[in-house]
Amino acid sequence: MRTRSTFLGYMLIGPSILLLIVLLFIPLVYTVQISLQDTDLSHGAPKWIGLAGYVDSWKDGELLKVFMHSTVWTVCVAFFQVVIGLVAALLLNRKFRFRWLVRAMVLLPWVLPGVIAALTWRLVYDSQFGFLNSLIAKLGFGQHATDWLGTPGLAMFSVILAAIWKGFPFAMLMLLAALQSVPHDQYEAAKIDGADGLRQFIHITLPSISGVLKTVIMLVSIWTFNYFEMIYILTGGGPIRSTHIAPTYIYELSFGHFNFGEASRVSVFSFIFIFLISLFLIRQMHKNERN
Amino acid sequence: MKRIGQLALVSCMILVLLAGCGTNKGNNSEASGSQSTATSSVSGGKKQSLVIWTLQQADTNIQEAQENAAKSFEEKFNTEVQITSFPYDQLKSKLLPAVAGGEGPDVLLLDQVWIAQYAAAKYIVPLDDYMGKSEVKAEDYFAGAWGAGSFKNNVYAIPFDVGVWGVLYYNKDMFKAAGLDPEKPPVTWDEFNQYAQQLTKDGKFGTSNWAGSSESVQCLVDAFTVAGGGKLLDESGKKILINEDAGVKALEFWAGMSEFSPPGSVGKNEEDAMTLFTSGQTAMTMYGEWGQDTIKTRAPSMNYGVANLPKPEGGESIGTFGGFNLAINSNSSKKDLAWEFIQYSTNYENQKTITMLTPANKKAAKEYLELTRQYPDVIYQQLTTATYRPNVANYPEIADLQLQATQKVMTGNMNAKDALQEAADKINKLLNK
Amino acid sequence: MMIKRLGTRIIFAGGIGLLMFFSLFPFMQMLSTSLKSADQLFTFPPAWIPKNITFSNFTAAWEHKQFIHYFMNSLFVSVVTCILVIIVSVLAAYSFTRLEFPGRKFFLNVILVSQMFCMSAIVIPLYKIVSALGLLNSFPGLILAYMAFTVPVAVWLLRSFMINIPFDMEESAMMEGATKLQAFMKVVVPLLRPGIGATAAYVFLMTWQEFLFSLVFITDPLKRTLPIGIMDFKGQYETNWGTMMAASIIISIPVFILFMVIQKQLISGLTEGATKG
Repeated sequence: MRTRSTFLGYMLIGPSILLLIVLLFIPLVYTVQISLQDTDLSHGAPKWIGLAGYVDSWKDGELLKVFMHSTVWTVCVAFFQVVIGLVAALLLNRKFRFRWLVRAMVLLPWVLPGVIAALTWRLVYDSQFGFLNSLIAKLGFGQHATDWLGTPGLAMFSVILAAIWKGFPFAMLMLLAALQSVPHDQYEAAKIDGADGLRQFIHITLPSISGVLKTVIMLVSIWTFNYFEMIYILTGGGPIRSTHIAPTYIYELSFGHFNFGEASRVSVFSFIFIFLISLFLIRQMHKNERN
Repeated sequence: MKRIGQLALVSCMILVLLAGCGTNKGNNSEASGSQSTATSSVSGGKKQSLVIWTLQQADTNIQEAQENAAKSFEEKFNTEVQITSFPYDQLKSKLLPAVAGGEGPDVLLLDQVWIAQYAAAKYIVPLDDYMGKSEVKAEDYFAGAWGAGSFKNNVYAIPFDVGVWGVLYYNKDMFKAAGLDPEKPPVTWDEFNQYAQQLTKDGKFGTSNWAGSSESVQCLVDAFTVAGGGKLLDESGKKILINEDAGVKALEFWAGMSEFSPPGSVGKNEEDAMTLFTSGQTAMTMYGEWGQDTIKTRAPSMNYGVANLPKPEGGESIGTFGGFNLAINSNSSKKDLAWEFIQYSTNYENQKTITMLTPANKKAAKEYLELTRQYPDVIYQQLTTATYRPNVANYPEIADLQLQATQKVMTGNMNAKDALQEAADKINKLLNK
Repeated sequence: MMIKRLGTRIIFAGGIGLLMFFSLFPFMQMLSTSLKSADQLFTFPPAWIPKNITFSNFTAAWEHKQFIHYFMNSLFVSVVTCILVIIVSVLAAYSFTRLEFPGRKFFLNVILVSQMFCMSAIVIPLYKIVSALGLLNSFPGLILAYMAFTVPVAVWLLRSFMINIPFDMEESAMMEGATKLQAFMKVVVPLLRPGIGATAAYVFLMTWQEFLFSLVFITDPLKRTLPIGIMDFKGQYETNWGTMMAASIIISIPVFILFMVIQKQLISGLTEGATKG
């Protein structure tokens, strides 16, 4: 059982907690403070407006749209990152020649700096010079000039695909590590019992990696929600604002419009939003654990 | 359930706990921040040191000229000049946190469209008093660039260099192949459309429009609006006029080019359009005068011509100004020296060598264009008549609403009249907030 | 049985093939672009294999200003951040999993909540704090900011690895006369190696590729990191695609090799630990 030791306990978590308070929570307090002000440049000097700004933010419907895009974006990207990551981990857990090489190659998307990855995808999606349309033509589907980033609706799909590509190796790496801890003798026993691959997966593999899997799901969801560079570089939130998500909107408000009050309000809303998602995920996990 | 309560409690407690100390710390930090800059300038030796952030130069000649100019400034004023350069996007993202955080360079190089915002936020200081005591005169500079540097009847930033959106580039060989006279580029919108149609064949296209996430498209649509006799804002600056006839026709002209453009142009930006031109996919493109440098590297053997932007029937050929102005950081402790530097960088002698785009000083510009550009007269003419974008504090919001209208028309969601009406209603609300 | 085997093998090979294709597809365009000269960059239809292969982009990238300098800066910042984060987080994870003290759950939740911050949302207030600490334009300032963003995740990951290490092993070690520290170093740390490896990989890559903080906090050209340096090739209107892509490949190679070398330790290390246990 855990040893009771107050002093040592605090000593050991001290550095982490101090770091977080100074560099994350103080800025958060500052953000909350600014969020209570009207900082619209065309209104002159900043004014204290209290909580009224929090209500006004929702008035023109822009924020609602942004949060809807954020939800679609987060759910799709996180779901497929984990699923592809899991499939990849299962594949790469089997022994085959050059496995070491394949493992390292699959990690490449994650290694590439985010800005470069996004710029590369911009090339890939180009209607005329991009390899994606060229690939479609080579596969025999004819010479299309699909405007991957310029068609509302399709643009969201395109940024989601690129984001899945960028992040799935993390899920894969974590799950691959987790797969190593599945005891081999259990598989042997299952084989003798005549269990097929799918059953082995459900009854042995999944329970053994569930701890890491849950952590990965939560981390990937939070990161995706906050993931900024891909959309900023690929579409900048367009066309017709159809790919604006919370972080790009916050960036636009603060760096584009210098409206720090509104940017802070959206930040606070996003924080609450992620907080609720995490709560939901944590609850789900505990429910599963109890069952 | 218990966990939820606990987590919520945690976050509330953190907020409450830190609310007190956080605000105190915030004030302290600002105080100590400004102090540290003050001491550093004193402890940095007898010489004052002037910090300037500027744009990165691709051309090493310009870089060298800037360094030499800085050196002679150092000697003249017995001071030290620290120039740090960044690519455009980086400069934009880096300036704001620095200036808003009470730091940043003494002299700021600002894109014309940022000036109103920096002025409204009081990050830069009015220069009228300094100007009164100096030789700097508005009429030495291009009127559009000077106008972009003022905000609410004060001058905030002195023009450094200018560019114009845009001029018309056309591929002479493709003109010949289509049976057009390569020495007679299109002059009117109708001619342009007719030529574009003739040039669209065998998998090649007449031109390429774009509506990606960039303001350049708005520069051109604004230019066409003014060219057709329209105005962007009314006299009071409280009413947008893009939804009037000239604006609608301008947007229709721009969106109508899709017919002669390679498919998929909504997601493109100006760089993509230029790439299509340099790779021989399109025969004409509208681009800033600095596009000549791009053609030189990408398609050195291209036989191309430069002409004024096509004009509407009964209208004029008018472009929109772009470019950069110099301003003084309100946090700066060396404002007088900063002003000397601005004056020094914008005088006729230095302008000839140190600017990245065309010099903002008209006399220097003329010589510069003769020396470095093909078709200097076309460009100079386009520069003298160019208009500038509305310099109101929430211009970026306005530009985005305009861009959305353009995107709606180009994706076929709406016609130009309705899209501009919708945008104008929203913009008018913004202007009268 | 034989046919079934063959079927699975084909499915397996197909799966690996698809996975590789998905991961490497954008790199094909990157590689192809990096090998083209400026006038060959864009042709229609796009040439997957350049007509005249040129390495001039690679030499240009390598000779560009302080490319090697940027590289060393990035390496330094990433490695130092990595080491510091691992030390701080292993301690915290140990405390959270092995010790009982008042407020344990509270602080655990503080860590959890800390993962939810968005970089672009707090960069401006964070700038003021780094400035107040006098750490602007310095590596310590940048490293501290990176630590703040990676420590919560690192603690969380290490905690989940550490929970799986049975307590009784340490207890039996302590029964044999080892101190708490000895038990920790001799029993927990070896078993935690894969967890540390995976966490370190995460921290390293997060800092290796980070853009916004590095841009905002560092001004001195000699202190810039790679992601900033590589964006030198992107101007306002013109991107030097060939050189930029070549530079991207150059900086990916060492990390790629690093992963190839350590992946055995990273992934297989856990098997050893598990079997020993």
